[in-house]
Amino acid sequence: MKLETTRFGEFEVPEDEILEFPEGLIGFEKERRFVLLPTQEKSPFFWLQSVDDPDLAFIVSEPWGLVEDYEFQLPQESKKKLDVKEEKDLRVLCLVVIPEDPQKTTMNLKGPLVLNLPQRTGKQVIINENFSTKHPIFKEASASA
Amino acid sequence: MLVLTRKKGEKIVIGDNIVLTVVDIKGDQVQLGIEAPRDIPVHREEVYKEIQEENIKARKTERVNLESIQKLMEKKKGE
Repeated sequence: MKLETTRFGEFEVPEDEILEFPEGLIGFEKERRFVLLPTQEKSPFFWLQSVDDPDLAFIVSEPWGLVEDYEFQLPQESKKKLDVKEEKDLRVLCLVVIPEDPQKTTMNLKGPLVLNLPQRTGKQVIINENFSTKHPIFKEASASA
Repeated sequence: MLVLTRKKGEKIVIGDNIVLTVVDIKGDQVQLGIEAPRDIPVHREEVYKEIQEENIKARKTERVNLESIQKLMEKKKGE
């Protein structure tokens, strides 16, 4: 299908690459369909572009590699909603907030997006583990360097 | 909104399988015990709000913002 976006113009996306978020994202409950767009080669960052709102796009990233010791138990109700058959079908992406000073970039570890890849569905999950919604991805020490 | 008054140790039953217990009251703090089936999510309201706020902030990202962190990442790798 043809996608219209404010950031990337118009382009074609195969229907089977569309991800369905039946509950939307928290605060964006009406936005149900997204596509993941790569950014750069080997970059952990992706754009999560809304299919229906050209202006709605988020930066998401795989948390591992950027955060140490990130682990959580997928809550039972989320497992049910995502219809999880095997854990290896799942992929975790976290939303990234880039402020004016990019050194202060944070990642939301408390509300990760969990995708069920074979089914092309996803859900923003609130995990029970004690992680921050604003986890800095660059260490302070190197910020002063 | 239904408002009920409860004492310490008293309970409120919601539907067939949710029970709230007032475990303790100290000053203006109330400790609640929640028994609910595992498929019902229970969260402090602040957590929802925080995630909502972060999502709203996250949507303001432009391509230049991404480029700025990608440059930073490359710089770090080189260090």
